[in-house]
Parts: sequence; C-alpha cells; structure tokens
Amino acid sequence: MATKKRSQKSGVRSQKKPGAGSQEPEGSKKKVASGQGPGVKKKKPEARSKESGAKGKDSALAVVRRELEQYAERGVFRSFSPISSSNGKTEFQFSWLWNKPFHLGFDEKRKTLTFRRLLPNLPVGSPIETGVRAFLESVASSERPEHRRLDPARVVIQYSNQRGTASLAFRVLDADFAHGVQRTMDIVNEVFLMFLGPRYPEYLVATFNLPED
Amino acid sequence: MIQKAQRPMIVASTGVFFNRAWDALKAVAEKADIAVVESGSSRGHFSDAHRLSASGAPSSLVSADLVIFVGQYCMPSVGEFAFSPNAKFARIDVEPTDIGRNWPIDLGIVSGERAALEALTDAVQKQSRDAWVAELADARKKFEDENAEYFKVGFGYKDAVHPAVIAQHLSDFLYRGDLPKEQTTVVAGGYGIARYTRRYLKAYRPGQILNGAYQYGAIGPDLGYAFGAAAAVQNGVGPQAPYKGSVVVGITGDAGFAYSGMELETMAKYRMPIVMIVYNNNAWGMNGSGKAHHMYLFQENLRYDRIAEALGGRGEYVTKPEDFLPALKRSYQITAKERIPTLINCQAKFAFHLRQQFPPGMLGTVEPGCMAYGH
Repeated sequence: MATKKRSQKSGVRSQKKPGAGSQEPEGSKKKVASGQGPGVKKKKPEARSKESGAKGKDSALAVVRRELEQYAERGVFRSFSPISSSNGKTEFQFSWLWNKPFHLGFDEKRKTLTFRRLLPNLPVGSPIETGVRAFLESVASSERPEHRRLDPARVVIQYSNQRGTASLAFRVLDADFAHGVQRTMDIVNEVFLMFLGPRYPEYLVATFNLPED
Repeated sequence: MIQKAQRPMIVASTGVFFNRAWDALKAVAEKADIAVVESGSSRGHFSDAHRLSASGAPSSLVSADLVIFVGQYCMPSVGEFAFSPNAKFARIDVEPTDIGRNWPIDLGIVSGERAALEALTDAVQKQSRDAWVAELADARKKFEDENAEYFKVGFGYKDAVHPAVIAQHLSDFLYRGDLPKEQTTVVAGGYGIARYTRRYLKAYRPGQILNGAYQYGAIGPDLGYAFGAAAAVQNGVGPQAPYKGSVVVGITGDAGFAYSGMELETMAKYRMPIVMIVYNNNAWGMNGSGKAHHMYLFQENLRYDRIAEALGGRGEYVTKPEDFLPALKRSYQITAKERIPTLINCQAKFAFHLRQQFPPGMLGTVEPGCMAYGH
C-alpha cells in the first residue's frame, strides 16, 4: 500500500495554521490515497452516479445537493438543510448518526466535501488519533473488498487536526460528485461504526454523549 | 430488489425465533445466496456454521447493498446498526404502523415472518453469489483472528482472570471439546464480560444462545433468566427438546449477581444443573468512566462462590487465568452428575476495563450480529 502526501511538511502530526483565505481544512494535512494493487482494475462509476448527471449539464453543487437530499428523503437523515452558500462554497446541516447534527461543506472550486470539526477531543499523536489515521489509510487498501475500496484516482481523503479537533475532507478528482458524496458518507459512517464504535466506545460516550449501553 | 442486489443480507431477529421460521429462513437464504445476520434476544435460528452466516462477520455489514429486516421488533435508530447509508432497506413485520419506525425503509411488507419467508422462497430466483459468500468467509476469519489476538493478550495477565480468557476457554470447552457443539444452551448476560463472551460464543441451533437483558443494556435478570432457560431445557420445551436434561451455562457480572443472586437458592431447590459464571471485576457501583461514590461500591473480591455454597449449590473461586478451564470442566461434570448449580467466581479487576493500562480494555460492539446488545 503506497501512501502519497500532499501539502504536508512533516506528516499528520504537524500543525500548520492556514493563511488568510485558505480553503483547506486547518492544521496538518495528509492525503490518504493508498494505491491499489497492480492487478486491481479501476471500477467504473456506478449506475446511480451516471444517472445523476454528474458529468452532464448539472452543476457540481446541484449534484451534491441532490445526493444529500436523497438521504433525507429516504430517512437516513432526520433533517437536512443548506445553511449558507457564498463564493462557490455551501454548508449543509443534517441529523444523521444517533440523530446528531453533522455539518458538511462543499467547495465547488476545490471540488471538496469537508466534514469540519468532525472529531473533537482527538489529541494529536494519541492512540485513538493514530488509529483514526490508520483506518483512513486502510480504506484504499487491497485488503478491503473491492467494492468498498476507495479509488484514489477518484476520491482523495485529506485528514487534518487542529488543536485536537479533526476534520475530514474528500476531494473529488473525476468530477463524479454523486460517487464522491456516496463514498464520503460511507467512509464517515465506517469511521464511527466500524472503528470508533468497537474500539473506542468510551470516546463516543464522552464526546457525543451516547448512552454507555 | 433481491435479484438486483449483489450483496443482500437478512437481519433475522426475534420474530423469526418466536414464529419458528428458521426452516423458511434457511430455504430462502440458500436459494438466493442471501447472507443472514442475527439480532435480538436469542441466537441460533441461523447457524453460525453456515456459509451464509454474517453473525460473526461484522465487517461484512457495511458491504450489504440490500438489507431485509425480518422480525426485528425493536428497530434500531440510524447509527445503531452498522449498515451503509447507501444500502436499500426492506422490512417484514406483522405491525403495519411500525414498519417505518426509526430506520429508513424503502420497502415495507406487512406479514408474519414465516409466511413471508415461505412466500419469498417461492418467489425468488435461484442465484449464486460466489464473491459475496467469499467475502463473508473472509470477514468471519478476520473476526476470529481479532478475537484470538485478544485472548493472547488477555492470557498474559496473570494476576486475575481477563474476560477474553473466560470467553475463549468457554468457547473451546463448549464447541471444540468432548461435548456435541449444539448441546449446551448459554444465557449470555453481563455487561463488561458480555463484550467479550458474545464474540466467542457460537449458536448452531435455535435457542442455543439467549442474550440476557439484551435491550437497552438492563442489568440484573441473568440468574433468573438462566433458571428459566434451565427449566425449559430440563423439560425439553420447544427447540430445547433435543437437549432435554443438559447442563445450562449462565454468564453474568458482579452487578448481575447483586441484583438476582438469591436465585441460586431457587436453582438449588429445584436441582437445576446450571453452571453460573460470575465475572467479578469489582465494578458494581461504578459508571463507565470508573467513578463512583464509595458508599455505592461493594467490597472488593467478594466470595460469591461461598454464597452459592450457603444457598445449597457449589462454588469455585478462580483467581488465575490457567485455572478457569479446569474449574469449568470440573463444574460442568459435577453439575451434570449431581444436578446442583455451580457458581464459578472469576476474580478479575476493574482496571481490565481501562485500555491504556490493560489493552484491549473495554470493547464496543458492531451490531447486528453476535455482539448485538441493544436490539
């Protein structure tokens, strides 16, 4: 598994304050774009992505918004609303896991979906933070089933941690924003339910006020 | 939906067991290669040994692209079951007003569980999903490897009995020793201990595992529940009939014992062959963060085994990991022969809960499946 790094001075632990007007998530950045094995074929976009018009006439924002609205219409989200939009950047708010509020930003110019301040109380270099980063690196690993493997040619994860609060950004490289939204939601879902839930239940209890049971 | 899906999965819950729909469940699963994961208060209506079982394959849950809830009477909220937000969901339930409760349902079917599964067996086309079956096998192996690693670490703690030791050695004794692996009914209660034992226990036939206090994590009823299960087994009631007269194993913690320990007297009075394992980690009175007022705490290292003896049963006190398996074998044999309950007081310590001091520490769960706790 090869791991590329971008905009990074000294790995994930480094703390870098963004300059004025920076569009990047704060803090250090790590591009989690682990390569697939040489024998792994690139997957074609799924049917739903093609139908979404991601490469057609719809704007990227329209595609992202429609994808998110579908989660709300199906009941995956309990609530959903765009809360601000300016200069090509839009913030969405929705109730999702455990009916907790989540904020997802979309920067149309940078083609990036960002869960800012997704994971508070995550000290840099702590075992849990190291575990989160390792989990994110593993999502492109050939050890995962191919259908759940992140294709680094299509979506790249950027992890950042500013004073113990982690953000996750997903940059869509192939302009298939429907696919980008779906993978973003899948991976964040897994961070909570497949990594933090079984490994660090006390973190979820303390940080997100979940019941101990 | 089933025909289009690449990785379909049935969540077979309480209603499947209550309505004895296990044969219909197996038929439809095998016909269309649909994975099955269990949830709820009992396990075994779909054997853990089946190639399509996902109960011990937690990493496969997020892979399912179609999930069909069958008899899931207590629906989880989003976040409580580890399915992908992009999966499609169907639900079969007898109560029309409950179909869409809590979880996003794309298709609701109002029906009894057995009737629906029988109709579905007739309706679905025969399909093979080799890649999905292979993924399930990989996921089961990955989970077993993880549990083996936990045992290895836990067995290294020599001054008390780690829960992974109890879980692994109990599993070895029940399923990989002289006993027929389908024989012993287990009441899998407790709180901290259940986070381990449920990972290692297996269910090969309906009603083999009864998850004590499964809903919302209530504690306390484990001993009474074990008595009830033993009464069913001694009388050969329902799916316990083939195992009439067998020993029942119950698992609880010191808190569970505190609530219903006097049921040992009832067990002894009615000569119920029950081996009750008490995970005594001196945690009764503490909350999850390990804090409590002194007045709420029990004294440490209490001898619940002696209470058992005073109430007419047998007692064993185990303080070292290597002593648990011999105590278990001895207890099972004597309990079966003399038909008196035995309590194995496994002396642990609260610090096993703390990850930094004693990894892997308190474990969480991935649900549904063998770890199911809340629903």
